[in-house]
Amino acid sequence: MELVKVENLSYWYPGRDDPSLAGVNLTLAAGEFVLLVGPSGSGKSTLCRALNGLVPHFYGGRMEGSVAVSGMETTACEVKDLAAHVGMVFQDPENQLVTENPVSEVAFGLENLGVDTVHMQKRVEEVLATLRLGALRNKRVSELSGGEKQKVVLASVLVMHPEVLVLDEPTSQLDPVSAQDFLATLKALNDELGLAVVLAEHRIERCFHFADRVVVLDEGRLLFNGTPSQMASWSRGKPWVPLPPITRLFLERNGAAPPLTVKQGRERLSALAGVNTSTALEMTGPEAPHADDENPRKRERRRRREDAPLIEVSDLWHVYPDGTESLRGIDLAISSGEFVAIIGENGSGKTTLVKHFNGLLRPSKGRVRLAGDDTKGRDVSLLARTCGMLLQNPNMMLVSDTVEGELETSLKALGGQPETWPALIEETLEEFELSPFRRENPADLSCGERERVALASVIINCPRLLVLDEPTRGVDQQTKNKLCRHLGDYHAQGNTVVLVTHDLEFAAEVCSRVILLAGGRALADGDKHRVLSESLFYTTQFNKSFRGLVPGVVTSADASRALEAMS
Amino acid sequence: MIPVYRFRGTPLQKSHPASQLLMVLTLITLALINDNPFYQLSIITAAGVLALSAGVFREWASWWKLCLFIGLAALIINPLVSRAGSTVIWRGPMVPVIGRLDITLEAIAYGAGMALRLTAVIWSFALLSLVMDPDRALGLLKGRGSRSALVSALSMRMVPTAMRDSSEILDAHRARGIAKDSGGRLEILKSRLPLLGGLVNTSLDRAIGLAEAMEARAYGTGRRSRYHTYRFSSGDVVIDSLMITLLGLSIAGLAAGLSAFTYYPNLSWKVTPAGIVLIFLPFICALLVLASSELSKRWNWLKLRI
Repeated sequence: MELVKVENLSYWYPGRDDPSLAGVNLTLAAGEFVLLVGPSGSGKSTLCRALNGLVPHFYGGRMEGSVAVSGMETTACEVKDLAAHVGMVFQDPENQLVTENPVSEVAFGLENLGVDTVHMQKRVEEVLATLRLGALRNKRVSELSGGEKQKVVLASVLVMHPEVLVLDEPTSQLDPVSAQDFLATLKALNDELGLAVVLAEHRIERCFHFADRVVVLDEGRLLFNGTPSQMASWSRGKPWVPLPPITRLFLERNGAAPPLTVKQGRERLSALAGVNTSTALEMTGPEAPHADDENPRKRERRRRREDAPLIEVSDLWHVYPDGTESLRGIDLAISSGEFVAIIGENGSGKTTLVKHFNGLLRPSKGRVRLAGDDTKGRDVSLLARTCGMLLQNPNMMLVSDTVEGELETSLKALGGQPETWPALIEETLEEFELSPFRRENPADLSCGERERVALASVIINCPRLLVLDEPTRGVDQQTKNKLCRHLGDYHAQGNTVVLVTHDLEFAAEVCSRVILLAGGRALADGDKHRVLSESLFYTTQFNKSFRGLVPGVVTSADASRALEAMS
Repeated sequence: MIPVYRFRGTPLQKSHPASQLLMVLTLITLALINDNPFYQLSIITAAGVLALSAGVFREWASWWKLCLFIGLAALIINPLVSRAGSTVIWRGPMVPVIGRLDITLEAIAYGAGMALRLTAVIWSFALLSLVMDPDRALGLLKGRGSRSALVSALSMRMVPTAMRDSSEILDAHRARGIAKDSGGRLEILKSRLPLLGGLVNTSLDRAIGLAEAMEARAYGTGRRSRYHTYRFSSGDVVIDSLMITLLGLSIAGLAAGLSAFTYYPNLSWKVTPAGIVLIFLPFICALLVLASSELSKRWNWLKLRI
């Protein structure tokens, strides 16, 4: 039976000439798990909002076609009437929580529906127990982690007993562990309660195999609707379509029926190697992935001998005012021309560490030298000339009304020769493909475009050290590819790049050195092949797939070579 | 940083919000109507004992800086501006507008009394903020002014978020060299003005997101029901009885002049046994609340009844 029926749906946001959705047809049966994929601006969020009536009731605009949920036409009833049928979870949990207490939050929807207290208490307790949120009942919402907040939001929607759960990139603001936990919870709800799920997601490697069906959207049009296996086959030759890395690897090489998970990938690789998975295949020759076996201490000594580091951190400790020891005796040196990724779980001290590079934070103990000078007592605006930093949320960096103005503000802030500015601005606009938007307000641009404006506004001052904090969070594959290219170009000019990230696939592709932080200490530091290969969890899908078969495979290029050798 | 409410699971924190409000309002009322500095000291001590009983003493005590700052201000300003009092301890020069700067013992004592009163009021409010769950407090308003209650709850919830946003925006601007850390105050202030624009934009984005999420959860459907129902327990009756008794006896004692303390023109205090008891009354009541709280923690029979 069709629970949701979308017929020939087209939708225009107010003041827009181009439709955000164009002739979309889709049905959803009870208990189905549908994964919605597509680049930013493809219409995923709009389609999600059309399912619970926010489009058009909340946003206005013009809608053609129809959406029916449980036989109710969304245009004929209000959002609040659909609330008990369609539960909606949005991207940022911070923007969805109404009260300061998790239990009150879960009860909020039921209070709105006027459910009596006895029934409400039963339903709230049931949901808290199902999602294992009981331990949070006496906490304040502001004390919860991002993952916990998003689970509270999920609980507050589930408690209303919806027939369909619609989630718009719910893990985009979460770290990998919280994201994995959230998606596993979602799958369990789908399996155990038979709840229909529509999930719009960029990080599909964690949920691709969950889905009964995958729907691909681009520029508001539905391009594909089928099973994950069918979608994988359909994606051949379409590099913009997101696929799990191991799927993409086999797809481009062998074509038909690529593996969808690491487990399936390992089975295929084992079969190819013709050996048991526990037997390692020895790769020889110049094309074998290079595993760097040099001792890290020896490497450090060698690096220090070779040249003075651009960043030198000695016995760095940082204690926040609430007493949290975020960094505990970090020693590291980063030389000019390096491309370094700093990885680790949330709260491991990654952001705290890099904020010491440009003086945003000052050491509680220890010393940080930037280009040979102690950062102690030096202004951030002075240090910013050497160390440019792109923080997590590009929206917070932007201050001007136009893209052009944004770049000029950056140049003005750090001084320099005003007569060179017009040429610099032109060059940067060109390089970052921002010329068409030069007079647009950055706030009106897409997420990927805003990210580019923020990066351009940092790079225009040509800092010798560029630090990026989670630049790939919540962005699509195309934006990642462009970012990868820009960073590669900047690094190729002899600059140093430090990347703080949870995105290990991205880090492996662009960086050469990886530093793993945990509990404020550096647990591993060295060549990406060595650090990522030694880790069971903090590694790429390629490494997990080739582990025990071919040593040191972490990037797509490594994997292609290894697969070729095995074939 | 100002400490905020944290649930400690103590009987005082679990008590009815109306009882918590009554407790703190009693302390504040008594601090405002009684001039006796020893009585003010008793109220401050009582607030400390109640904070101990609520398991928030450390956070409560951390307000000492604010109390000290405001108290010192009262202590210093009053002798400088007050011409009353007959015991001149220092004859100062003529000052325009103020006149001769004579410092009297009575003015210093009055300043000290004011300082203690302000401290008592501040620490009582601190107690309220640490004992009363904001959601439950606003829940008292449900039914009447429920929309205002919701707006207030949202504002309170968004305060930590807005503070975090502003800190992140400032960091982003400092990292770009837009917001300056050094130079003249005016220059620093001017360089930080774009922060406001960023904060407004972020807050508007959040507001739209929140409105959307609330509508998606059926807000505005019709008459809302209530999840939290507050019933008065025996423990609340104990607190309410103690506070009403304290308030009644204190007002009666004050009317009878039992704890009267005169600052001007000369310091005078008629010490009587009844007056001493009256002064200790807030402290005794707080001790009784502490005792009932501690006993109920250790004695399940009492715990189930309070």
